[in-house]
Amino acid sequence: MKEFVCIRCPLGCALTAEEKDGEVIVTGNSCPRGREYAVAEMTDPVRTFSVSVRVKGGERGAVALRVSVPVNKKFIAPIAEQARHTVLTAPVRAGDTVIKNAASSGADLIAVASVARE
Amino acid sequence: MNKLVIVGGGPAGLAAAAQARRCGVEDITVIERDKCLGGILNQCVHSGFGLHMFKQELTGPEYAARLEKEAEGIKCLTSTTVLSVKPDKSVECVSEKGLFTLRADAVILACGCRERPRGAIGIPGARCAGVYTAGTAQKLININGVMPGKKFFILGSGDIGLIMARRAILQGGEVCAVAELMPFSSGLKRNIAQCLDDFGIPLLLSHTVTDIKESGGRLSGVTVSRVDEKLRPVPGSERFYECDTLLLSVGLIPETELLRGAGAQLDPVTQGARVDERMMTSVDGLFCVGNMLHVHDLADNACKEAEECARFAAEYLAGESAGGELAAVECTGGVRYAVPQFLRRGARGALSLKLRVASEVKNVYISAQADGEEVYSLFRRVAAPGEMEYLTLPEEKAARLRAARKIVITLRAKQ
Ligand SMILES: Cc1cc2nc3c(=O)[nH]c(=O)nc-3n(C[C@H](O)[C@H](O)[C@H](O)COP(=O)(O)OP(=O)(O)OC[C@H]3O[C@@H](n4cnc5c(N)ncnc54)[C@H](O)[C@@H]3O)c2cc1C
Ligand code: SF4
Repeated sequence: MKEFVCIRCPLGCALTAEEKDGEVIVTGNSCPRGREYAVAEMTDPVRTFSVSVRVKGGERGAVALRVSVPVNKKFIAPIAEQARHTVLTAPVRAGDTVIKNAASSGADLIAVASVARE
Repeated sequence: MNKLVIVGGGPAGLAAAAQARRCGVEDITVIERDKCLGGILNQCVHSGFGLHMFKQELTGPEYAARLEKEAEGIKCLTSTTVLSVKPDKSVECVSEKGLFTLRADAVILACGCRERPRGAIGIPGARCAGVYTAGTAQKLININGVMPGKKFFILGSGDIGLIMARRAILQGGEVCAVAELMPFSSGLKRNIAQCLDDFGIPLLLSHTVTDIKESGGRLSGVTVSRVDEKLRPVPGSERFYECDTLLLSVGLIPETELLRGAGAQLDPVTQGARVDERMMTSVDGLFCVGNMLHVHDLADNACKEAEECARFAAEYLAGESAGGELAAVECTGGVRYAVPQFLRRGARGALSLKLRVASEVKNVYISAQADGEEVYSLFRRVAAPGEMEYLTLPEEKAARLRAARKIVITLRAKQ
């Protein structure tokens, strides 16, 4: 059994979810969205996030990359690890795909801002 | 004579500029002290912006780029700081070229807010390197590519503190815990789940930092104590955390220097300007919006406010009257503040009030009362200080409120 706070609205219901015969049983939710959230958290908890990577020879020292699609949270650590070993060279353009299929997650990493040469 | 100067090129300033142009103002100048436009958004690289304005979840820089596009073609002076605004609406600026003064017929101030520093909360202990506000650390990591430390402790569980906990981990650091003085976090539930719980970072509610240790001039650890209901540290509850960096996320306060200089009235609760329905301060023709008026949780809300204000500024420039004498709005019974602080007796149209409750409450009506009688109410199953509430009164209800001798915004429990 797993317990979590529903994040779909400010009410923050305390949910519990349990898997029984391949089905997820949810309690504590006050509306269907809470059930949906608990099921997603039990089966495929996805996240959207950004990582900052260093940039050489640019007007600033870093640029952020975001995942192109939400990824399962188990990929957060390996993607962050790969980004930490990445150093880009200016110029970087907003929207550029900087890393394809990061840590084999299926998501690309996209630059969220431009960095011109120094 | 219809020159509008907007001070600050963050989301509020840019949204105001684009809307003022749509409303027919021809001579608009935006002044921004930074090299680039976008304000605080440039360093907020997480996603979660623009769900209302652009119906899409964007990162801060992507959101800023959209706003810049909407304001394209409007004169923007970057790397230019406004030193003062006079009641006659002359705007004194400084840039590489030196000092110069712009004469405006209306000014919109959109200078954002600043973080409360260590001094403002009075943590005892060593004065040493390794103490940063969360926003400063955010800028160092996301803009400059510099990690300010290896092992972090975070004081304050507002959204910036939560977001920086995750950022520190993603960039290869460690986070001991996040301590929050209050028994609840003012951060979004989503941020608690995705920035702390996902990484197993403890959230210590009703706890604060009571001592700072240093070694060789650098922070080497913090002592954390539980606090009682009166927020006093409980003797014997101390616990020491070894770390090299303390991040402070202990609140934001509106930037007020220019307001003070212009002689505008301030609100002791929001710590920003006191304004009327048009977001005009007590100085004629001087408007104030965004985080400089009151701290917003969402950039979308700051932009919405700025757009409303720009429309009123355009009306002001076109010579429309202010709408009669001022009537103060009183907040009681669990409502911490409401903006605007004043209504105009003769104003017309719907009325939008923004407010915050003082503590988390369940099953309440937010109630607008004219001379003791409720004219409008909004039901909330839950309302929390961390989430701004909107009360939008249709024209005829707004008229009753504007005409009342005593205008009160309060909470009423559901029977
Ligand atoms: C860390 C953090 C995380 C956030 N996360 C989110 C989120 O996930 N989603 C969301 O919707 N919102 C988020 N917000 C809130 C949102 O960013 C703000 O509400 C919004 O930026 C406020 O806009 P603003 O234009 O009022 O202020 P700012 O963005 O601060 O812009 C003010 C501008 O004025 C300029 N300025 C100041 N003084 C002068 C002067 N004297 N002369 C010239 N220029 C001057 C500054 O340089 C700055 O560019 C976050 C805020 C922070 C701090
Ligand atoms: S279960 Fe429904 S009511 Fe409860 S927090 Fe989730 S979305 Fe809100």
